[in-house]
Amino acid sequence: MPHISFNKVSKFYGDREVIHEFDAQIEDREFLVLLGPSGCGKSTMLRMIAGLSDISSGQIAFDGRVVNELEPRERNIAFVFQSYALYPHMTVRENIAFPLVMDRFKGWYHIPIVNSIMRRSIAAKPEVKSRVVEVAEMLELTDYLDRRPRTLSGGQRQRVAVGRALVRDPSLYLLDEPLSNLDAKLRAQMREEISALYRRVGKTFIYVTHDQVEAMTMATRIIVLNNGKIQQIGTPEEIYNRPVNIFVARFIGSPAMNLIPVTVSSRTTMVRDTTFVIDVSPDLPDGQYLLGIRPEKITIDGANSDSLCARISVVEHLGGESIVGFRFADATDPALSPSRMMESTNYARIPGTAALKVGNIQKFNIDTDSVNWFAEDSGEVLHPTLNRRPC
Amino acid sequence: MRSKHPVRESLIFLACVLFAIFAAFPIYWMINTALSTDQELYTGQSLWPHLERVLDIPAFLSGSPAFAWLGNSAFIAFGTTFLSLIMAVHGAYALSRFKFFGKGAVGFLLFATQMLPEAVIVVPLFAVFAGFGLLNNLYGLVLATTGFIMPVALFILKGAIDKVPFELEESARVDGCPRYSQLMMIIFPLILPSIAAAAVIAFFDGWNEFLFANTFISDANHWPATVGLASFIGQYSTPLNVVMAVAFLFTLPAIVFFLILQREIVSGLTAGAVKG
Amino acid sequence: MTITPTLDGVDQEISRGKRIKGSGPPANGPRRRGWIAYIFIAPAVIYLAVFVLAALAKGIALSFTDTRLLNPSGGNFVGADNYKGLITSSQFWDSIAVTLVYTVATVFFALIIGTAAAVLVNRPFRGRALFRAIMTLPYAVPTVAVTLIFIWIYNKESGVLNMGVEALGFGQVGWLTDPSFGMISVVLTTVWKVFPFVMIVMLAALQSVPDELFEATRVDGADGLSAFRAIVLPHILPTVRIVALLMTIWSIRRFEIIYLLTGGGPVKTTNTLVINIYNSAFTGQKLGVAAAMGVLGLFLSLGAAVIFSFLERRGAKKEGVA
Repeated sequence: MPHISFNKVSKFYGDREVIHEFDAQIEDREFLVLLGPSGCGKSTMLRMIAGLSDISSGQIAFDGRVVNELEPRERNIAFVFQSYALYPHMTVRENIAFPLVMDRFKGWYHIPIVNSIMRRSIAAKPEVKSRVVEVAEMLELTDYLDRRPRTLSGGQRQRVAVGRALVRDPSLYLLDEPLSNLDAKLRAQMREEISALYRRVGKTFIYVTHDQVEAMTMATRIIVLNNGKIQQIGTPEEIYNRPVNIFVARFIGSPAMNLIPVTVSSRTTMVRDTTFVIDVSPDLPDGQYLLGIRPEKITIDGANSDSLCARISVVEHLGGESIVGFRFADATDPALSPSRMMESTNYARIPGTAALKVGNIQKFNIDTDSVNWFAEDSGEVLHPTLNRRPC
Repeated sequence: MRSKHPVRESLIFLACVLFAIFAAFPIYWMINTALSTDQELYTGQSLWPHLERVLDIPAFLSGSPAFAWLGNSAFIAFGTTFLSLIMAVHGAYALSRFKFFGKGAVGFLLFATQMLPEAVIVVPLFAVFAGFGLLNNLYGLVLATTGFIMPVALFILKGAIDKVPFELEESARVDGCPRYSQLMMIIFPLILPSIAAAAVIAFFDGWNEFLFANTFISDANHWPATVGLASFIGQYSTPLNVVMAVAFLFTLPAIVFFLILQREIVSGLTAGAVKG
Repeated sequence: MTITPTLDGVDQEISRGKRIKGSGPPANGPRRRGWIAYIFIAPAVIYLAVFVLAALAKGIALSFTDTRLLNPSGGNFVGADNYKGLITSSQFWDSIAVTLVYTVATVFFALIIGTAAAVLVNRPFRGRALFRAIMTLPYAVPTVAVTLIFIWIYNKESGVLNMGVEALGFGQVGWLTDPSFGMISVVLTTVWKVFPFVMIVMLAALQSVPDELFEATRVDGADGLSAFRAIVLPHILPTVRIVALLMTIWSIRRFEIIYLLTGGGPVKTTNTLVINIYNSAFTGQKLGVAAAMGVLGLFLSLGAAVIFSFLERRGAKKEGVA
């Protein structure tokens, strides 16, 4: 149902601005991921959408209706917490039934003592009972309905939290790093389950995470946040292939996008501090730039005579593929100072387990169609017209 | 932790035994005295109790006002517990979950009450209660006692609420649970052990209350057991074994309570002590 | 000493943890409707305002009058006469001295005995739970019952204490009637009643000492007592300070035990300030003078709290530097 629009939403804690003028539109039935490093304000953003945190300035509107002042309950949302926030004193059944019970609570039911009687009697109503059972079946929790959260495994707790969100059939699901407390294997499984759930319920999901794998695999669109500011909004492919600045470029992908410092002069691109020329010729003014290239767009030992030379510093065999670390400067200057070692290491991802040795000097080939250009000072992306270097 | 020093180990065990005797002897002696005959007490009390005399106790308590006193004590204790906890639960929630102007002042007021000797307050309170007709009145005693124990209960419960994860309330809020029910339906069940601790500590305080009762209550029908027992001191018309039997009757509920809820009380005491 | 760095690390961890825990609601907690807090806190605050603050104000007002017990609402303003009278009265200063002696003695012995008991039952051995339960029993016995028992135990002619003393070949002692024994008897009774509290709290503190610290002492081959001093004591020192503060405040406040055992006697040797206040008001019938004494007593309590908070700050600073 809702089209969510954000109009210059900001959040201050005292004088500290944690969200800066967030502007975005979310379409119905999107799976939107808010992605960013910890402390970037993504959880705060989610809490403002939920109504758990105040909005300092700006507006959030659902289908054109400003919801700034609405209680969470009135926004028809569900929220899955990072810690799951299951009620420890209630059984799984009571946890899942709780939102339904609250829907049916009249004002005077909240009187102490009366509340626990009414909670029980509403939970026993057939329509509540059957809905809880239905949700439990969907999530394979039927056998655990009468257990308390304490006795469940991490994955089961996760499902109870999802069940509690699901039970009222909200039009917007908000999930705050729901998988961060699970081990890697379970995380992969739950990722699939949440994606399946998304397809099944056909509602809008907003999902907060710092895990780019979750973002890339689940999202229909991603918003990358850093220091409270939107860095980029786009599909996973756009974010991955066409990052708008070096933050996004470095944040997404593992290993991250290589940012090779280059000097452009008279449309000739040269790896800085070396004499290697890269076979691409952007129409950029002379100066210093960063050339961004994904590790899998680099190949080794190609027949191309224009290949660059570099010394291999690391080789990691991952089975189906290998990660190869290399440094251009090393090829000519083996006595590189340790402090520069990290920053100047680039990575290539190549298929198979090639017989590469650390210390070897190899030729590297860059897929020049996949290169991104960034201004060195601002870190913003540039879109030069590329020509073949005149021979 | 098996020690290689059997001598040292047995010395330590001996020390434990001595401490236990030190702690238990006066209680044992109270029971022993209650079970002795009047003559024995002045000609030489046996070190071993005459257990068979337990059966005589109901007989020599009949007709004494002991049960009426215990009833009054129970009223004060329950009243104090109830009133203290109601205020403490709500106050603790406010102190734990909110920031508000004057929070520091409230904390100081609560702490300052702890430092105030009851004997300092009893004089002006006597004057105030005299004006309101609260002298010679069990309700007045509940009101006076609550003022001193409620801050303790409040600190214990604040410590307990601090440990309840905040997301539980937020989750309840999303589920449509209003704030007051977040306290009553989510937090309250989760801090039940601390509530029990605070309740027992408040109950003890009401059960033990002597100063206000001794000052405000002149009508012997309204005496709690503390004042009743104290009235035996220095008067010789009541045999000592009866006095001790009443004292034991008065002590028994406290000890039973204490043993049943020991874990909760200990956690409450330590929380209170750490909070200051 | 080789273990010092570890210890400091642990201490810092703990103090850091405390600070985080004490920082109140999470930064992103809802503060929009902070005013609701006033509704929740109001009953407690209003209650204390009426029954404690108002009474305190009334007490301060009374202290400037010559109000008598039989006419509590009457009384004339006499200025600072009550205070002048007290400051020049040796009896008042005697009661301050008695209060100090009583407080120092009870706090000292209760801390020693309570901590020793805690250390003893902290070690694993068979029957430990039973010993713990027995040693905490005095805490549960109502104070008035405690005094009744001890009055009988202290009885000069037939009390069990004198039976023991005579068996050892000494003469009868008037535990509650001889001026040289009154204070000893009162302190002994008080310590008996309150040491379990110290024990319970210290036991909790001892159980929070990480096992590695005990292990470290064994590796270093330190013997029991010096290991306790070097390793365990620094760890439980903050708790000791808090317990000492509480015990001090309670000792200054304590009424029943002294009032019922000796009533301030023999020859006013146990006449602490609160007993003095109470007797002036309800035996001497001088409410005004008693109120003035109460106001001065409040300063004594406050003074103790200030001294302790000063010690605490200094202690915390020292631990931070070390």
